[in-house]
Amino acid sequence: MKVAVTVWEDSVSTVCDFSNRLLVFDVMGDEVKNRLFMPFETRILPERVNQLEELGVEVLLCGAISRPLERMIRASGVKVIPCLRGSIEEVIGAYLDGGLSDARFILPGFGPGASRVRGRKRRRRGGVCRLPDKVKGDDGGGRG
Amino acid sequence: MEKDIILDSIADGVFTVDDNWRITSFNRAAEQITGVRREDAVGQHCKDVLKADVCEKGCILRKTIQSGKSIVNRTVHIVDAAGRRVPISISTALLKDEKGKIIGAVETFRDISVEEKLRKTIAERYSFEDIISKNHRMHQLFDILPDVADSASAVLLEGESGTGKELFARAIHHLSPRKKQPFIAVNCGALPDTLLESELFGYKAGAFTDAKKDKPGRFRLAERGTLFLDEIGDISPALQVRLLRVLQEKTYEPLGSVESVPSDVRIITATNRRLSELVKEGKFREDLYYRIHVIRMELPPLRDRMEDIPLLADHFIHHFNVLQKKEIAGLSGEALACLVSYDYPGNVRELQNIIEHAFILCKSGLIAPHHLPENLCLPRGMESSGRNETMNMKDLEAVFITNMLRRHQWNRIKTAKALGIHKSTLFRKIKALRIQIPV
Repeated sequence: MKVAVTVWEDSVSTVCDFSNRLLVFDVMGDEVKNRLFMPFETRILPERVNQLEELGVEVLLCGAISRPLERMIRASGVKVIPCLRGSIEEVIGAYLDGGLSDARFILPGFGPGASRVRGRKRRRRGGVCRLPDKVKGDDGGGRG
Repeated sequence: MEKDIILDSIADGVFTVDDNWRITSFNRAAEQITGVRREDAVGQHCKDVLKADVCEKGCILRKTIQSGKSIVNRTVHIVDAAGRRVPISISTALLKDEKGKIIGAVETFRDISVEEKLRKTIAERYSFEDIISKNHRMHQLFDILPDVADSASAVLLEGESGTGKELFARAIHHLSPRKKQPFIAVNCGALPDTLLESELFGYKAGAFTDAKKDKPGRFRLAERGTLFLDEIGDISPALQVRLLRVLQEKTYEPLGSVESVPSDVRIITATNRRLSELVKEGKFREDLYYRIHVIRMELPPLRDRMEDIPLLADHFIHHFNVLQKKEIAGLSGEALACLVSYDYPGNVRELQNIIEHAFILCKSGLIAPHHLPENLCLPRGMESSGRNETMNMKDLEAVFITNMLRRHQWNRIKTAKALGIHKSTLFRKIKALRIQIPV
């Protein structure tokens, strides 16, 4: 299975839409193979989707993501696990172990206790920043 | 506590950071703009909370601390907790202790969505960031867009009215090496021939009665940039000759001038007609046709990319929420069913108008079918039955089938094929649902 992470320095990039680099790798059983860093610079959203499609990415691990971009990526058949933060190594490790729902990997405001901000109606739709509670098992990747 | 009360009374978002970029205070307006609660924000790294485009490539708080200088009203974009891109205007300042030692920084910001939308609406400055689609054919166009933009070749954009030809032209310009130079758009179909000629090439004082002084044409204004000629299929044979000469020789003469002016302009043309057919009919010069269609891009009509309708509708709802200061939550299932079964002869522009129409009638909550234009949701024969708040499955099926029939010019065989049902099943449904077929 091919997995991609949006990257900034050695961490997950905070916002997928503004990220400039991708780390793409294959998950084979328990192992991560064929790591490849590459530019992810286009600001045209459908082009970002195209790039992921062309790389054959099946799962995208990323930080916050705008609703249109998330929908477009999902529509192209890529599973999106958004709202992540932390060092790449730890996030990949947690992905393999099924531990991405740990609070330390979730951006502020998206954890289990997060709710509406007072004074403003906010309707959560379309799966924006759903907690990655079942990241394992669904896609068959990682250790079992 | 006192500090929090003061900060909460400020209409702008305010947060402070320590020298490790950890948030130390976060006011109520900041909560509202970012969608992150104070208790979730305090103690966190500021980039994880603000989520701005500048955080990773040029943090302006870092610049402030390094240079010791405040930054005022810098426009950046954030993604809020609901997944919306929000433009904000940011200002920064240093925080110092009594001895003048820097202990952190303060950032104030305000949501400028309204100003940004108005600015874009007035100046029609929508760019490639505003193009959204998950359609395969659109993605194919996006694939070649950077290469098209990089080249200096002429581009012909073909597509029905309202498919976004100008948006694509702007995208090509913004991605091209000419992006810092002007983008000038001219609607060739909107001007009479003589006026169009003087608009394009300009004139010298005395060229005609009212020409009191020199006037630069659009070619001059677009120098070193991009000239977008919309509705190119509508220009006269005489103007076609002049345009051909500019493209061939890279020079032109303003009206009333005897001197040639060199021209370095990239031409992008667009038409909602089939230029190749106009060439066959002898209405468009073949040599000009081949000059302008070095690269041809055909934009699909909205009816061929129906999967984009929820995405586009959502985009326009956000657009009008900002402009009209409303909080419309979205479309009801029934309203969406109406939208996806319509055939949109006016394409994306028509969808935008439909949502604008709904905004007039819908005060809050979800847009329902009765907020949409009448022709969209009610099949023939149902108008007299009155409008209900909600539709049942039978009504929805009738709306859907009627719109599919309309899309296929009321041809039942074609419609049945498109619906994936047998023609006799369709005939039965038409009868049962009392759908009236025009004679």
